[in-house]
Amino acid sequence: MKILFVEWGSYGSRDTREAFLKEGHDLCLFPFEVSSAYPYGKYIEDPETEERLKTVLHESVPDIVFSINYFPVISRVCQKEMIRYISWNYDCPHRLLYSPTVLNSCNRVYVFDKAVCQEFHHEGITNIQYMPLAVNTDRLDQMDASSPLPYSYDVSFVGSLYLEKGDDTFDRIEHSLPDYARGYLRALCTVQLEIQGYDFTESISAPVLDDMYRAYPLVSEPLFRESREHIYGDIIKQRLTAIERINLLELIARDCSVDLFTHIVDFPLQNVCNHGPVSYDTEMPKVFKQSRINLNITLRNIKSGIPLRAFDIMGCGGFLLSNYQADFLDCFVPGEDFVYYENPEDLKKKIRYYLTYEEERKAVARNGHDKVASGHTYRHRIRELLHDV
Amino acid sequence: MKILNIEWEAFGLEDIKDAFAAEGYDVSGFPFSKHENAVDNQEMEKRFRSVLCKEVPDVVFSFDYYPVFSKVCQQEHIRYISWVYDNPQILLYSDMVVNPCNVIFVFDKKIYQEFHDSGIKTVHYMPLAVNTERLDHMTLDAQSCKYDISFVGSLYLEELSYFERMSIRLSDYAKGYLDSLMAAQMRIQGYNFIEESLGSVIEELYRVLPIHFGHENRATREYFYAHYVIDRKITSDERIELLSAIARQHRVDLFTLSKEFQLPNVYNHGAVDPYTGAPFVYKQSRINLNITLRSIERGIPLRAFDIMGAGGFLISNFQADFLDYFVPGEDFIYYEDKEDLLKKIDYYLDHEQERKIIAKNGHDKVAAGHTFRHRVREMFAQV
Repeated sequence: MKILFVEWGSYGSRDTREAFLKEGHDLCLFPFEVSSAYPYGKYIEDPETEERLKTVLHESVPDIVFSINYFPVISRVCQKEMIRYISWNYDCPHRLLYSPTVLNSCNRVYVFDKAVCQEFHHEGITNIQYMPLAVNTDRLDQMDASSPLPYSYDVSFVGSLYLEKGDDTFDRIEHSLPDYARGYLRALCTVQLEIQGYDFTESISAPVLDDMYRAYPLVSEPLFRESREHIYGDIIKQRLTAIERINLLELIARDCSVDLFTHIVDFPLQNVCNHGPVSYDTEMPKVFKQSRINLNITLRNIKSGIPLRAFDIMGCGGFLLSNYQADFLDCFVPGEDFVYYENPEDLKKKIRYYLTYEEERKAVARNGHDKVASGHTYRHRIRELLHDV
Repeated sequence: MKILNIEWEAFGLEDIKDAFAAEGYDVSGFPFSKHENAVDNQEMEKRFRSVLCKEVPDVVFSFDYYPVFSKVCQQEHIRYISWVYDNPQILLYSDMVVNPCNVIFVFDKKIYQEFHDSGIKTVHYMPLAVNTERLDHMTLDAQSCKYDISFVGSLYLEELSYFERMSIRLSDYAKGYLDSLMAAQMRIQGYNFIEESLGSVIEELYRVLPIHFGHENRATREYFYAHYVIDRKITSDERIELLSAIARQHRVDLFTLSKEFQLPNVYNHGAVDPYTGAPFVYKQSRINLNITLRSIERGIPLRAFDIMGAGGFLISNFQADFLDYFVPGEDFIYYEDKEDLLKKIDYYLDHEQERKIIAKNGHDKVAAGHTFRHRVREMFAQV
């Protein structure tokens, strides 16, 4: 098949392209800019991009157009040109999915969070389907095939603390709220951090939402279907993730050595060694391979989905200790391929256990790796994506 | 065996006397008023001790637990059995609770577990009870049901309740905090998180409504404000919200102390006597509701036993302890949230036969294992 690949430098872009080629498909590239500098409206509508894409479509006549993450501007053209547009979304939430263009018949949209997928289905949007993420085990296996990397770390966490500049939306909202709303929000955060299995951010009272809007007006794009609860709820959930990650890391750092790899450099956590950021392609896999235990503490906006990090860790042959995410049980066996913790005390216990029982730990890591290699690579996903075309 | 029964206006006063008699115990009474100081009361101690020395019972019994009796019983080496049916019950946190003479029964397994996990061996779990024999003799002339859906219980709307007195003096921040906390709790059944979530406002709550519950009591401020103040308010809001929702589709008959309380399609009959009146309401209602007071985290509340014991059909909120003894769908029905409650009300109003079978099962199960005689046997088995 001939595939027009919308290239914007995302995670997994190279691995996805490689997989298309290995599966025997032809690729041509359509360069597309995605950056914080790029005007957001251009992802939705842009005469220049649309003209350029139309020209390329007529010239190369692909069977399908493919992009990582969904872009309404691409869908607009594909719908007019009546060509299948497949998008594989690894961002969660991905605001652009709430565009009305998502209903275009040319679309096949894949999301990795089953709960989000079900939300769309409840609204009658059936061209959004569930498909877990993936990892390129071939590439990762080759990194240390000749000489396996030695352990450098006991417990590692690679991930954002969502405290960098630009992540302060929550603070801005909170500081501008009237007292009642501030108290309301504080209680909600307190409870949400304690209770698993129920999303309280989706039932914020209307007057408090009004206050939040007045404090920091955020609107979705015209005609987008995203509710205010959802938009502000996502901001809260991101902040809760930050709090949870910091609390958990500091808690376990009392008993064992903890190594953190995160964007924000000058944020000290007690007893935690912050190494700063690592590159996704080369440095991060090394961390996973050199850590006895790799933690995953999922961004709370991801409701049931298996986050990319979990696949990255298992694909590297790392031992994965994760918070509970329901979709794990679709693909993996807890205790066999990975381990999940239920609460902070359970996390501490399991860290102690798996630092002690090395053979068991290594067996779990091996199982996780092998299961991913035999069913959750980019090649497997490509086959599934193209199966219905 | 000789029992000294501390007699006060408790719910099961007459019923337990019947049970004692039926089980062949010799009982004398020690009159007591709930309004007396039961923690630190020298005059009462003297009076009680002299009665003990005169009557020389084998065992002292009271509904609820009173530290003053525990203190004297411990000194006189007499077993003190208490059957706690008040919830919350702050006197359980008195230091006297560990006296070896104590045999304390609580009906909420959460409370039992809390004490058990702290290494306190004097507190045991035992559900409440109902006198089915008495209730079975309360017959009606008419066979058909007068009411579709009934609720017998308090709406906690008393003027100048703790919550109201506290709330009018709170800062906006604290008001927002509590409103949010209560709204969140109302969405969750089976776990009560108020007490552990008061951290950032407890100082202010105490400042605007200072409560002192005596020295030598281990209960925390969080415990008090959560269970005596906030849980009541949540229950009030919750009962009103659920009854309103039901009343939009069906007539609801309400039997409650606050006679002035009005809602469209809700017929407020005012208070009904729990001993002489309530059983007839249960027998004459197609559906009897139980919406448990929120401070009872897992326990089967008294109302549930009263309804089933009267042969009434019970729809209740979920309380985990039910599952120890009763089968949902067979002996009673529970709902998970407002929508589920409305669905089940519609269903069981339509399915009369099924409803009657469930009510009968519930009644028979209670009669066979949950009467006062059963409980007396269990409580005194250890003596």
